[in-house]
Amino acid sequence: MEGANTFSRVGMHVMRGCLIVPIQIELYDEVLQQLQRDILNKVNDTGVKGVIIDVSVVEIIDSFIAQIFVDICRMTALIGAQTILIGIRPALAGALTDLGIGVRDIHTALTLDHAISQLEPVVSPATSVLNIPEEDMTHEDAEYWAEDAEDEADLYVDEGQ
Amino acid sequence: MGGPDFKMKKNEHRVEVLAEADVAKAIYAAQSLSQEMGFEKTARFMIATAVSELARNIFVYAGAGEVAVQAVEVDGKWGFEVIAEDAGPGIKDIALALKEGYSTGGTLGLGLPGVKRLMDEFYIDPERQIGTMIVARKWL
Ligand SMILES: Nc1ncnc2c1ncn2[C@@H]1O[C@H](COP(=O)(O)OP(=O)(O)O)[C@@H](O)[C@H]1O
Ligand SMILES: [Mg+2]
Repeated sequence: MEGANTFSRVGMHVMRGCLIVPIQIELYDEVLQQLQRDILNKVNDTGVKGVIIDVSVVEIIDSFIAQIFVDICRMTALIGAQTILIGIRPALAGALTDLGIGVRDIHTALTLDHAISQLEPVVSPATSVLNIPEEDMTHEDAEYWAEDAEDEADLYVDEGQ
Repeated sequence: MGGPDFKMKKNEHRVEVLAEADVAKAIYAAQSLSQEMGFEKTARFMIATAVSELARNIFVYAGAGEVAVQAVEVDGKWGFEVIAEDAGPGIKDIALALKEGYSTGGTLGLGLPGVKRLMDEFYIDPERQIGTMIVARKWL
């Protein structure tokens, strides 16, 4: 278990040109500092242009934890990657706003699919789905967008409850 | 809002804050009580975030202290109350500490102004000689 203590124990993987970081642990100061370093190293090693951090299991984001994510966004930007947070529950948005954390500070998307399509132009600008005229869309593309719309509908229903 | 002007209080829960892990305990206490009291989800997140900020400030600036959460009744209205108390260095300039972006810890300086917005009532005892005492309430 070489170096077991020096890693944040947050498993990361690359998917469709983006580094996916699911946060599944309690966020202590030490862990967060290490997570920052791990993400920067991984971006550097893999050369990804997009980072997606999934915070859906993070209970509360206070100003301290928010700052860590803001810092990660800024630092990854400095080495050429854009970071998007996903999984911020609608009910948590009010608390974040009251803290003064806004869209200026952290980029967010509702779902992984949304985040990936937001990042598509930076990750692979030449083949970006967004640049394909509608009539040239492949069957898969069309399916992908349809799924996306379904996700949106689900979330909409969710919020209403 | 000054001292304890409530008529009734119940379900008091105290959390000693000595380490960073105690911040999570305070959050848990806040979540349980606010849920039990019947606060809706958005309000519960606001309460838990406020309690997290106060508990974290104790841990960071005072090293040790206590967070107490309870249900209080004033004039027939029930509210969630948090009292954060420590015997640390205290807050010298309360007005300054409440300014957005002011921090002696090199962090965002959004905690206390945030708690003020997250809760309905917010009070820092200005007469306190040793340490800090902060009371915040949110009404049902
Ligand atoms: N319990 C406390 N004891 C002493 N000083 C405190 C305490 N809580 C807050 N402060 C002071 O108030 C300032 C602002 O706090 P806050 O708004 O939470 O922002 P931050 O924690 O990011 O500095 C702190 O930098 C600190 O100087
Ligand atoms: Mg603070």
